[in-house]
Amino acid sequence: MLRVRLLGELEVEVDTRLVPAPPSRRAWALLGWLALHPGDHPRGTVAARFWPDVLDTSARASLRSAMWSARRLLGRDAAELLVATRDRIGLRCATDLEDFDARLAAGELEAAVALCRGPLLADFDDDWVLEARDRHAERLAAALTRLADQAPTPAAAVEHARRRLALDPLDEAAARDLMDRLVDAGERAAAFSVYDRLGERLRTQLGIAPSGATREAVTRLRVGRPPAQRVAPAERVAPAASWPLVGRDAELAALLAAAAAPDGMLAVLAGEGGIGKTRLTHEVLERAAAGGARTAGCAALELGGPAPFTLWAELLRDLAGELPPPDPAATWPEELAAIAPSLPRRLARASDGLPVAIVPELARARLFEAAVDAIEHACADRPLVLLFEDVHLADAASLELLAYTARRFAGLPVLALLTLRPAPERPEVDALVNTHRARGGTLIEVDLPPLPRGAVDALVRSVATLAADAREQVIDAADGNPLLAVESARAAAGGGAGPPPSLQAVVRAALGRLEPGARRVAELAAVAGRDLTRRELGDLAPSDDVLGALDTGLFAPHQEGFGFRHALLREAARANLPEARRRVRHEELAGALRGSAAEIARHLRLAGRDDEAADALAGAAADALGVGAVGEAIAFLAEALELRPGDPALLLDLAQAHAWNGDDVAAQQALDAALAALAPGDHAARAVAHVRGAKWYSGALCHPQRALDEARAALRELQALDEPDRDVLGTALAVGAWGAGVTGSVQDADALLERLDALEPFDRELGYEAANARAFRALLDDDLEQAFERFRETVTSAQAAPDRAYAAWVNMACIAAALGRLEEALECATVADVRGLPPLVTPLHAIRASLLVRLGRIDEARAALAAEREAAERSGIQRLLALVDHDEGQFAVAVGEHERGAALLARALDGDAAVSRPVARLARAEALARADQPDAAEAELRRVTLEPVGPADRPHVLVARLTHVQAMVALARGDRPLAARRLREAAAVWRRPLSATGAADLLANLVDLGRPTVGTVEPARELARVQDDLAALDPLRT
Amino acid sequence: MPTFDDATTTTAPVEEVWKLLYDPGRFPQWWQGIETVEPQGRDGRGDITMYPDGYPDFPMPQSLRADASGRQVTVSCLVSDLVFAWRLDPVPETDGTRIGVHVEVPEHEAHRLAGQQEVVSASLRALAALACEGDARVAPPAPG
Repeated sequence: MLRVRLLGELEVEVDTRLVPAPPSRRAWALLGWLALHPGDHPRGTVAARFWPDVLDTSARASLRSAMWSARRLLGRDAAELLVATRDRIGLRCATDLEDFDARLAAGELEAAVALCRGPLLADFDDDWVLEARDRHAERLAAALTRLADQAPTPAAAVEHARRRLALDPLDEAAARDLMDRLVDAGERAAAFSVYDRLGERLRTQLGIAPSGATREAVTRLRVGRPPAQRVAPAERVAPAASWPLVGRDAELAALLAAAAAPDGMLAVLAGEGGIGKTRLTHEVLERAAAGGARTAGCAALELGGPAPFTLWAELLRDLAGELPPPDPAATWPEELAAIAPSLPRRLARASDGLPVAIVPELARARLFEAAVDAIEHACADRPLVLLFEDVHLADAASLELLAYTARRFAGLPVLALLTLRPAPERPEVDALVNTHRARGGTLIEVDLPPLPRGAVDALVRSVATLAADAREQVIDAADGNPLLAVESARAAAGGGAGPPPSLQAVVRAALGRLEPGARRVAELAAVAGRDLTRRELGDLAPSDDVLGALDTGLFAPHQEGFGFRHALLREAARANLPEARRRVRHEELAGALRGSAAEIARHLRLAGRDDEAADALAGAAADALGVGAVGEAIAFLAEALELRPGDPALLLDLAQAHAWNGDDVAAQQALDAALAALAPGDHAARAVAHVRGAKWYSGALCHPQRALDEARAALRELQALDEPDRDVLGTALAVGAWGAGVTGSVQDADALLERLDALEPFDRELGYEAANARAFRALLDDDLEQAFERFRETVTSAQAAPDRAYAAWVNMACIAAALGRLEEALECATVADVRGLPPLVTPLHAIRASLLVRLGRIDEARAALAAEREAAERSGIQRLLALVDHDEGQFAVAVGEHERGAALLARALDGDAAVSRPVARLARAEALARADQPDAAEAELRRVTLEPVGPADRPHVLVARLTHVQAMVALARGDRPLAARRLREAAAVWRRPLSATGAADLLANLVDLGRPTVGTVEPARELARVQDDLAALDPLRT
Repeated sequence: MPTFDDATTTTAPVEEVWKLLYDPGRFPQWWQGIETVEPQGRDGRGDITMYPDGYPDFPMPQSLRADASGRQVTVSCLVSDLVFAWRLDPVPETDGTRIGVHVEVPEHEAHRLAGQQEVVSASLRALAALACEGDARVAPPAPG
């Protein structure tokens, strides 16, 4: 039997034999730590906890050495007491701390307190000891307070109160309690001494004055008045954090096991408000942290309409303080600055500049990858537990990012712990969970039921000492809800006639006792919708008022800030506030908070300041676009326009957001509305509006004719100005030239380019647009060499923007392929640096695969396709996955894997891959025919004829290919004469001149599909295939 | 704007009619009054260029488009502004095809309405007949 005493200096007893402390402090501390943390723990975690500054191998070696020493101390049964497997270690023992908990829960206060010989593990001062010591001291203080209440004489009560104050000499509530009890015992002078010593300590150690409540107490003492409230709830009950967790053993064990698991998982904890989710998750985080895990948390904002990624912004800020320095070459801290601007500074990075701006879709991809990198970094040396509270209120972007990162949890020691209430329903959360499950991710779902009566009874006893009938009333009223039980018990202990009917009543009563300043702090915290940071609090109120609010016991100060202990308490406090007062507080917060523009906008709206809110919403939209959250940006702008209808600047921003969302109709409507709102004579503003439109149509919306139209409109407006803005003019000319080039308006393109030449030299932005326009103009002349060189110029201008670098290199690769320079094309597709972004990496691999097939390097092509699939799966973007199916399907058909090819192409078509559908169907029909499935092949050919056909589908080659596949169908049916006839028919079509040149092919594909064409159609090669089939059919005649 | 519609049914399957509609090089075989077709536009305009019978020096660039639902090919003359929308629908009972055409005649060409109706009707029937020739079920083996 091993007994370990933790409540005082460490004592270890084996079968009643006291084990002497060994010379090795590490072995001794290891025993103490294992006793304090029951259960088995990963060796790596324990090693990192005790030897954090050395390599893992060295830390593990030191752990082995310490365990050897510890086992020698434990004697012959050591192997059964100090259990060690290859991966985990644990101590089988009983502790006085467990006894303490048990006796406290049973109401045996004297016995519990008697177990405490001194501060927990008094002979150690490691961080993990200090945290545990503080927690225990709080619980002991609560027990001493209750003992004082029950003491038979005032003198006896004074002793308990003295002992409580000794636990934390800066605890003002404890000091006031002692002062009151000394007065009761007739020792007024001693009470003043307590106040003097407290004041001195606060001044010298913290540099602050005693709080208003304490000053008031001493004033009462001086004038000889009795305490205004003999028993203040916050002073007569256990501090909030020290309430025991009762009735949740199974859930706690499951979540702790998940936190220690080597493989990542998602845990979803659901339950009504106040049912104990917060208490349980915080217990999990505390224990996981004590066990060596790294922890961080965040909670959803309650105001609604939050900025995208609000949850992650908070999580990253919380996590930053726990992280070791990232590799200097890592870019994720700077990438994530887009949602948590302080992150680089918190991680002591040299640069805190934001990354280069790119289009929203890629901004989002870059952000998501950076978040994955951050998580991998955070769990590289120890388990990681991330808490996402109240995800039913979370913004959609945060949930999307959570789903993305969760896909990469496999093999990482990460637990993402989510809490949610059943209402309001959030389909996004259900989708996240279902997708995670469907992808084979590990998932724990816990529904917290109401606590059984016995557990509520134990909880109430641990919080306050109540008469039996009062306690029964509290338990009945709580109906299994622990928060209600605790708050009712606190209220009842405060002298109320019975348990308050609701949390609102509890909160109203507590806040009603506050001084005006302290009440204002409480009201600000109530409407803030989240915890306030220390800096915000410092800007909003003097510290005395904050301390006064703290006296209610409703708040939980922590390292980062201050807020209500529970969201329900905050909701109750807010509900108690009259509307007019709420508006005032929201306005104060809008002026003082250091939150996102979206949050400021929300407070301004709730304050009734709609005009200012519109500006803040525009800022929120810009922030959202910066992180790729286009849908949220549109919502912010739509809301801003409700507040300021017809505002042209807002309408232009809205048009841009719609354009980036790919909605050309909505974009055009907003642009038209903006132009209608601008005065006809405001030529400069109208030109800017048209140029913005031209850029969307040359980029995200890819509509060359409209780009040209808008550029022309901009140029007309600029003509009316004496000194048009050079950048606006240059962009209009360059984008117009591009549009003219792509739509085949040769003369227009040349005229615009000539005017553009006059503006040289260009800055980088205009240099890119100009080179791009000239490249496409060269394509119009079928001058592929010239186009290649122009695109090379765009590589230089593209600089660090990955989307432009991608476009530049891919265009070069395609043209090199069209020129037959396949190795050079391969080089272009290989060197393009697109920062690993899946939407860009995926097509680059596809291009490489296609080129490698044509070079006959089949194994390398297969590897490139595998890399393409890996990148697409990493992104989880369905349209990318559909493209991979298409590319693999085409490859399979090319290498003779016909059935596999047919299956993959079917999936690509079902997945609506952005490819030429008739061409893909023809490839599938050919695969089916060659796989001896003529009926299926024929049905697929019929579908070809029902597909829409555009220029990118190369209609001029579809007829020849369809005829070729008809031959394959005939052959599969054994009709050799018909097969021969179809083959000759196909050959005849291939021999005729084609209707489109190579360059036109490239243009059509880039414009229609946004997907590069690797090489153009090669009639000679296609004809050779037909002739090969003909020769195989009738070798004697061919 | 004057418009008219015409239609016919052929026993040829959709694929055979489709091959003729998507192969401008064969337009002269069924489109009345067209002598030759070049497989590209003219002066940067259009997708193909048609030349009327007897007018080798009168190029008529045309744009070819298919609508988003498939089944329909629209040929727009960029000189005369005539628009021909050819539509194919399978006839399941016979595995044949219904060929429909909708023609839009611009106001300034309204005087050609009757003539166009005649030309289009003849072209429609020629298209149906030519498609039957390609039908593997009825067509004789092509000469080697």
